[in-house]
Amino acid sequence: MASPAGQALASKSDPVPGNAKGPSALPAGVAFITNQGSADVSVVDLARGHERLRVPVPAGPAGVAVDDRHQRVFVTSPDARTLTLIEATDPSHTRSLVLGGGPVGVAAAPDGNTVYVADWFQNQLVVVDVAGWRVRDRIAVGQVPAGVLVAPDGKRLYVAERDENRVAVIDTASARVIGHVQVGDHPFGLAQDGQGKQLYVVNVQSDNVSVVDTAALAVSATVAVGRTPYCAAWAPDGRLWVSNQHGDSVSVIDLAQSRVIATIPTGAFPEGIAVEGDLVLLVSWMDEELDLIDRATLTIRQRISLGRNSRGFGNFVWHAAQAAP
Amino acid sequence: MRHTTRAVLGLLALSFLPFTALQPAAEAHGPTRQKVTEEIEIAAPPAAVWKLVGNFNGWAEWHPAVESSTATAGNAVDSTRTLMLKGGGQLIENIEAYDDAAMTLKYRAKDGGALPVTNYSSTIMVKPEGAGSKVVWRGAFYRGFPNNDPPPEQNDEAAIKAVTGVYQTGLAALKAKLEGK
Repeated sequence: MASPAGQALASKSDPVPGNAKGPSALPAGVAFITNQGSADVSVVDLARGHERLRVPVPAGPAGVAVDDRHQRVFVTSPDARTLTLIEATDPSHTRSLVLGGGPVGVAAAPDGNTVYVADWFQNQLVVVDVAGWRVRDRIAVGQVPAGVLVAPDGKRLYVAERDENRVAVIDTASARVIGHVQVGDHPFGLAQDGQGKQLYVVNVQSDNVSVVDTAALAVSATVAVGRTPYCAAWAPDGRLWVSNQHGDSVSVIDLAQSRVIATIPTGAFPEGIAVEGDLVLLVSWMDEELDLIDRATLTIRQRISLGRNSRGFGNFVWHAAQAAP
Repeated sequence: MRHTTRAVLGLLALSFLPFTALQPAAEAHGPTRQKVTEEIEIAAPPAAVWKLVGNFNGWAEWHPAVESSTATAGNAVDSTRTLMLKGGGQLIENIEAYDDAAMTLKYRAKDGGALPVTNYSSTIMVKPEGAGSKVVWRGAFYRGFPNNDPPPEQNDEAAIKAVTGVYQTGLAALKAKLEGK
């Protein structure tokens, strides 16, 4: 049973397969993928195309937020009702904080000291102070908050309010909701472009993606994708990649044209998705694999086995270009 | 596999319970999606197996839990069938994808129904296996209870048990029918 909210759990010292090496051993381009069924995180070396190790975390891990600048990875476990911090350079070191409710979506602020967690059951956003490792604030939001995203400048926070069919916009300095954008049915995953000018909202029930102009806080385009889409990832060439859970596929959107230019069959029930260099990384929940898709040829280059019921919901990649020295 | 009628009905009684009245309106689902995969080998050509499995409105012919079926558009995508169950209750499901060449049917249940699950979707496929066939049936779903601390009859285990029961009894009966046993 869950411990009282706010209680910090002891660090885990369980040995992990493959053994974490020292801080210098972490290469550029690493994926941290939550395996909800096996209660661990797969650490995948993308350049070598193999899983380096598996880090045990509390039960049912789903959400993930990599903060590569500060070399940390945050994981939510809705079954254990916890947030876990993994030291990216030494993944055997973890610590967990009981938040209560249903922590799912998670995002790290650029300042390195704040993590935002969507509480699926209690309709609030939990603000966690990383240095003090405690809950700093709780912000009330609409029904069933899912995906969370921080704008590149850290000033705004976006929360997909699934059962409100809208996205809440929060001013991070004042911790206040400053607006809403009505989108499609049951918004879940969120993504944005490199400058944060556009927000991409994936609508699970209406099988489409809402493109939101973040200056106007208005939908500028709605693009139909595959069946039951879940998450999206933006690529610098102006394409948006969307995972389709029931389509067993990804849709590739050309943002300039606001339309799908390709649909690629993938592992079954795809969820988490990310862009890393010339690859798109896609996590298949049903097949428990990471598909490495070549962005140029639109073909799957490699399939890497993961733990049970792999999800990778959130920003799960330690990017090559942004990794700290 | 040999199932007496009595054993089959016993399993079905465990699988199908009238949870409809307990289902709340659409809201947050349980924290962790579950899945079940069941497979069976059948000594019959894939085409013969698919003729039964791939007939979306014909499952009363082989699944022992199904009393009767009606469908709005046969095997077309978005066709919706209503299965009346022998144990009472019903399931309403619609086709999400239908691939005759790959012998794959994907369908999705309307929330509620006779199973203690929500957000339930399923894929059933027929593949060649040796001189015969293999049927793979997969389901993805959340437990019936949408919040924390579920009652035992609506927890993750109950959901997995119910779906597993449906798949196992269905596949065993399909095999028995096709193998003439």
